[in-house]
Amino acid sequence: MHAVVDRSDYRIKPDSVWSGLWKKTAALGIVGLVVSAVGLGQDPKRFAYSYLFAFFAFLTLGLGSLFFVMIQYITKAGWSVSVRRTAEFFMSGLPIFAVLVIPVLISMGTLYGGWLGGHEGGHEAQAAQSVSHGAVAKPSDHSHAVPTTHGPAVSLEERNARAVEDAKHKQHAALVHGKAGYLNKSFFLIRVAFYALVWIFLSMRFFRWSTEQDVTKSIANTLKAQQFAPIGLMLFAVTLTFAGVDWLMSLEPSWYSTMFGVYLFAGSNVVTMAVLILATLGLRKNGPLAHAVTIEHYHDMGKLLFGWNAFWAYIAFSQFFLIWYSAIPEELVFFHMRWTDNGGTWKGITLALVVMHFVVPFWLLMSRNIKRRLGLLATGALILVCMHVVEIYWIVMPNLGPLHFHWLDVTCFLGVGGLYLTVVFRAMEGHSLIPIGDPRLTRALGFENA
Amino acid sequence: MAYYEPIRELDEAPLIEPGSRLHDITEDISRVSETKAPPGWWIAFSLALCGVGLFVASVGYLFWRGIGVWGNSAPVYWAWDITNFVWWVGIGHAGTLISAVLFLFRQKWRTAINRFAEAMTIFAVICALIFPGIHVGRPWLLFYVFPIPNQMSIWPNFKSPLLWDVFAVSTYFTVSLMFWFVGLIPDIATLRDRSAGKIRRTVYGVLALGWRGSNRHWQNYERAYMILAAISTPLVLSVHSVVSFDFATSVIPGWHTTIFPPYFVAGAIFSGFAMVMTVLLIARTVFKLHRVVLMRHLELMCKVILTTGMLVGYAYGMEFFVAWYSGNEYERYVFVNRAFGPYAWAYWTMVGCNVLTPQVFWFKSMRQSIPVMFVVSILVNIGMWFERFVIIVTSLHRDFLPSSWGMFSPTVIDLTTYIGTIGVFFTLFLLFMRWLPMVAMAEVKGTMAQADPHYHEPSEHGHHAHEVHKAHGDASAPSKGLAPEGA
Repeated sequence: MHAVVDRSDYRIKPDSVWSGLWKKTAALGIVGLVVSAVGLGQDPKRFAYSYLFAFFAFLTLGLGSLFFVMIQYITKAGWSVSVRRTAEFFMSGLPIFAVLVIPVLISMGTLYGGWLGGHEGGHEAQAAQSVSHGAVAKPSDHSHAVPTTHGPAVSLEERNARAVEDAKHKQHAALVHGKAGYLNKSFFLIRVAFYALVWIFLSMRFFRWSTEQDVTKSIANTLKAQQFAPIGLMLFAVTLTFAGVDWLMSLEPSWYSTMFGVYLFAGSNVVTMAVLILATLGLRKNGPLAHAVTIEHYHDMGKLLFGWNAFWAYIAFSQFFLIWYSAIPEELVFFHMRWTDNGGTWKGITLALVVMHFVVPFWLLMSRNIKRRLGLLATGALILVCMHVVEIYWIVMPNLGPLHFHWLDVTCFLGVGGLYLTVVFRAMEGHSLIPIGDPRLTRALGFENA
Repeated sequence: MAYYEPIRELDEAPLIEPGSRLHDITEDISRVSETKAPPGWWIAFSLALCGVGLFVASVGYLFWRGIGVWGNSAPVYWAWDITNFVWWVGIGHAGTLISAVLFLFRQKWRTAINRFAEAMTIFAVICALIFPGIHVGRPWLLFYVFPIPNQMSIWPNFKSPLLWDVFAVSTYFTVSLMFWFVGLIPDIATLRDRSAGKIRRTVYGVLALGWRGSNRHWQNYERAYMILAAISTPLVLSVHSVVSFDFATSVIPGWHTTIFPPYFVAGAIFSGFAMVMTVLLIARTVFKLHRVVLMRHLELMCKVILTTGMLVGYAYGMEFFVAWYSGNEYERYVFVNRAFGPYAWAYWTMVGCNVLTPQVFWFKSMRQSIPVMFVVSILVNIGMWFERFVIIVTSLHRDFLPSSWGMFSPTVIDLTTYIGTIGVFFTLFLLFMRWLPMVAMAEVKGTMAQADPHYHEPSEHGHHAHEVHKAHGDASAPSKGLAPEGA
């Protein structure tokens, strides 16, 4: 029943490019973070947003991997056992986010000034009231938001306009103030601690159950993981949703969408499947995974990538569509910021998401033949990884203002990504690349799509 | 590893009662339509027919007198009619989910229940389509919903979600019907081959479309099945999403919320599974399907009900949280009113039935107790009816202006129309059980050990081998296993 495999077969070989890769990513990460720290001194505001973008680009991958692992246990899947370990590696990087979150907390005043009510925040909340198309929207640059045409010769129109503006500021302030029961500093910090604890606990627990089994071959580990996965999934759903509300949705405190948690979840799964495909391809090329992860597994992972991406499109479209159709100002602000406001600079990226995150990969990945041609499948996966990063950028950055790239975007991305991947690659070197003790491993090794 | 080799240590077990032969399956299922109906069937059928009578009378009266015979009033312009519509469409969802989505996910246990669920889909959608048909007030003008050129140049409003509904539900019905029928072909051929009478043979013969069970037939069949599954999968999501758009595209607090599409889909699967379970438990007992529908299947269904129940609970929670978080006073009021207003009893019935009741399925003993399952499945259907009632009525009954506040109370005709559709549903369903194979025999056989090309008859049961070969005469014995894998 159990696989007869030599443990050393599924290790990263010393001459492979994967060997010692973590040292390189660690160096990259540290350099990235140090340079970003300089940026923090120069332009704390830009740093805050760039960092949050980088943080979420990788956090979603870690969380998506956690979900993938748990769902394999819940469904007692056989085919996926040989790719599950790769997902476990990406999941095992989650604890580092408890450290990586610190800069987000340092930048809290900048990011969440809108509801924190701090010095900068007050300013922000005022500025957020520039009105465009009847929606509450942020101006491109808040220093120009309030017209500075004070003087004795103020026309009646101008005074009226200013009175309307003032009324809206007050209304907005009252609106945000009404959310203080949830959006306040101490509760926010308590929640951050809660998410961190849950993610550390879940990722370490599932990683240990699986890697322990490499040695002990104990079936009890599989049973324990299967039993705990449903509870883990519930914790996961709650933490992912509210982390999304806290860290992303509240960037614009007047905006709300009940779908946002599901939206973030869908995107996380897309990037996870895409990264799993790319990572196993890389490991196959330079390692011993070729016999364990076959074309059949790629076909299945391709199906899941296609399916999750269609799901993402469904959720993203529904969210957009319902907000657009009903045209309620507090809700529209999200899409106005990414379309007409901010000088219309985000239009290109918004359209790129539609075309490159949905239309192109959808048609590309539909056919069975393409999912079984690894070059093409990898192309699809690569497009989706890139588009996921673009999407997170598109969620975070318009809150800052018009689209303009900054070197901090890159350094923060390298910094966060470098440190996260260091943990992931370290784990890869320290463990077998497939769960050699899993009782269902033979099913995965001999798996065929009929 | 062969599929039929379960890992005992992981509590895996075969999907068919051990020791079953291919022929046993054919016998168990075909027998139902070849022997006289048990008294239980006749009792149920008479009751269901009474329901049909009630339905015809209610709808006849409605057409004669007009919509005023219902309790609909200002400001509750939509009430039971749309509640019933959404409820029935929701019930219809499990069929497509089980036959298409679980097929793509290679969940072979679905073979025991998919035929049932597909039939249920068709009948539930028929019941659902009745309501938009009769609620328009002038049913003779119903053809206006279709974009048919007419002399008055009246076109439907393509910007209205109600029109999308027409397209979504009718597409769903058509595809589900095709899927159901394609799946039935090999099994109908089995019935044809076993027929004694001439009429029987002719009718089943026509329906079987000349099926001979050849290799070529199977190959085409499996390809068609796969394609239909792939087409149906997006439909599982789209139909109820479009139904949710009826509400969510509006600006009515309590209706407009972005989570509605997936929330409605989850709720639909939830109620659909519950209905499959209710009917399946009865059929399993009455027609003795214990060989095919094992406790294991029922347990898995309980788990699906628990999962979807939690998804619905998540949506309830998010709606409530965001109603508060939005800071919108109308939004907040609607939710407070739902939970503590005059319809609080309906709200808490919904929460109790949909979120709390399925929690019993965390325990294995509950997942294996048939009475518990039966009660929970019925409670879930009650809860899901109340969910739609709560969404529709509580969001409408207190309009923006307090002067247009009101209450809704149903009339007798509301009640009889609703009960009548349940009668229609069960009449159709009982006829289906009686005349068509209610379990997909060919597919079930595909999950059995014998379907594996490398299967060897255990030598110590030599006498069994002989009988298995006898069973190869069945047209529906799969050539190479139904191999429901891959996309």
